[in-house]
Amino acid sequence: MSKEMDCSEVKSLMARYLAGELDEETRRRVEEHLRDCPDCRQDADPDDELGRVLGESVSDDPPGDYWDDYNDKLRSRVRGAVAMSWRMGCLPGGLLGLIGGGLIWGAIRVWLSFGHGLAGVQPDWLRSLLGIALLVIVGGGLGIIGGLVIMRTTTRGLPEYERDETSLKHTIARNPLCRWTFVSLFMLAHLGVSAFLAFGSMQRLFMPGWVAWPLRVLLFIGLASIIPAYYRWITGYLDGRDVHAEWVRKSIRERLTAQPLSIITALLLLATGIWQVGMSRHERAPSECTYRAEVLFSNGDTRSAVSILKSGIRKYGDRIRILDCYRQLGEIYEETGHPAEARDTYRAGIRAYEHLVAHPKPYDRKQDRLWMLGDAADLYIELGDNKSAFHVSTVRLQMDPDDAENIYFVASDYARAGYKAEAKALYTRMTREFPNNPLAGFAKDDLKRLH
Amino acid sequence: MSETGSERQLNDGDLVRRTQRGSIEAFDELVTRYRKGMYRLAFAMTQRHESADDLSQEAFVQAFRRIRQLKSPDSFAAWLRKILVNLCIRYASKARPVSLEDDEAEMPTSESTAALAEKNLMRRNVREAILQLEPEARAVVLLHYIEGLKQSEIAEVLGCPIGTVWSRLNSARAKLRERLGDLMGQGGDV
Repeated sequence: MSKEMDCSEVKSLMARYLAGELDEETRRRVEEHLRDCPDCRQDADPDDELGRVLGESVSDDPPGDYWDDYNDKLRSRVRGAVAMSWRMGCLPGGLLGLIGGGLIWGAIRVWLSFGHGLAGVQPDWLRSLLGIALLVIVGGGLGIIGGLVIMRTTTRGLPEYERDETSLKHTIARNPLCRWTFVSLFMLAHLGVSAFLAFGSMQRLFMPGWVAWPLRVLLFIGLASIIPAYYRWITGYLDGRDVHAEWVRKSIRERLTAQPLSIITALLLLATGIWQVGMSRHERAPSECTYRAEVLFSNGDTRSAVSILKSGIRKYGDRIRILDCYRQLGEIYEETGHPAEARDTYRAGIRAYEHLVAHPKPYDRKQDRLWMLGDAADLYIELGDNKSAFHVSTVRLQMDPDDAENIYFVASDYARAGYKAEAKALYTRMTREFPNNPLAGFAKDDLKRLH
Repeated sequence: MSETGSERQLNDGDLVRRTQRGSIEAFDELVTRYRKGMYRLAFAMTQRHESADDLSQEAFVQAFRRIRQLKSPDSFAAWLRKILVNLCIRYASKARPVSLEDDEAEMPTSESTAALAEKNLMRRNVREAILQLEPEARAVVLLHYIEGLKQSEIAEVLGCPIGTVWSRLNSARAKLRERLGDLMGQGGDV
């Protein structure tokens, strides 16, 4: 038989004994002790003398007619409390809307004035749509964060349950206007992100249009198909349901069968993203050569600059930005006193240009083609073939006849090739049609110089 | 009573679910079921009719406003009690100490026989002793003796470890026994 417990030992085990957490052997030994020890028994037994005395004394009945109108009084009190919380909800809700709306409006102004971020996106309606989607995300998100900060500040110092009651989440959940705004902001933000991922961020897909456009539409539909689930998730969160259990803790198999479109979309997005990054690095390679060569040449390391440009031309000869390498290599030869090599390089550049024109790639971007034509005009001018330079520049103008930047560069190429009348006409058109464009100032100066 | 029969036959869980869907009648029935117990507990905690009235109603108001957050409707009673106890503790920590004299004057004491006077004296002593306890300790004692909760259940209501409940209960018992020692002896004889 094990050793008997003393009172201090039993007292130290009492909390766990009462909670039923002791193992059988210890419990038996505690109970043995309790049998023989009235002091400890009093600790262990809740129904002792004290309970009887308290039970007789601390309770009291209310006045006789107290219960008659209790429920009615309570009902009006509940109504008052709910109305009060609704009114309280209007203030942060209104502020939230004001902040969000103000930010969206401000961002639209900024976007319209300086928005070059999406300048390459075509057509125009898509660019506007993407701009608005982006601003809804930015403005709405900032509005929500601002509202949260305001709520946290105004409810600081309240007891916990009152803070909970006046928290942004419960205010939004109870107030129909706030709730509607909150949910639609999230929906819009999701639509915006979907549109941006599908049409915006990959606006230059390195694929032919007949592959790129269906792919974009498919991506958009796939991303947008999450919206019903997303709606359930947000409203569940507002209503205090365990959205985690409903939404996140599903097995992978359940998820695959429930959202096949989303899974396909995710895989497509991943594949397209990898393809884009790879192709973009591929296409950018000549520009990186010219950039590095420029840095080396300006530091006096002509040899390395020439070697980089030569190896670039050898490796990336079929890429649309390669003419830039020829042009720069020719200029380096000229500046270092090798005119013969320079001319050979320009001629080789022209051959590369002819090859690029004969073998266009389906994913080549208009912007890059314009630059290629500009580089070709430069090469012809360096070789003294002004007629070809004029011809190439005209092709360039026809490709994007209403773009201010394009008009300006074609005009200066005309001027350099000696076609002064055509250059003047374009400069004049530039100053008349695009007086607010930063290039219009340069156009005026160039026009004066031509006179 | 004007309540419809259908509400009165439902269990708490069903009534809570109906309330969550917006039925005021269902909530009315829940109030009718629990108002007396809520009042009793609030009175035990505060020893004042006005406070018991106010706190028990406030607990119902808060329960109504937060009922959509109640995840297990069948545990409505425990949840409601938790709201009330926390309100009472907060009230007792803020309120000025109650003077029983004021309160006592409102109580019906017309039958002034000797036995009744003695009983009133005992009640008074017990109530004073209870009010002198810290609000948390008072809650532990009353939940244990009046509501008959186990220590693990009290820990759940107060949101503290069971060890804290046990030590609060023990020290409160020691204080009460010290103050009411004589009375308890008398009580045993009655």
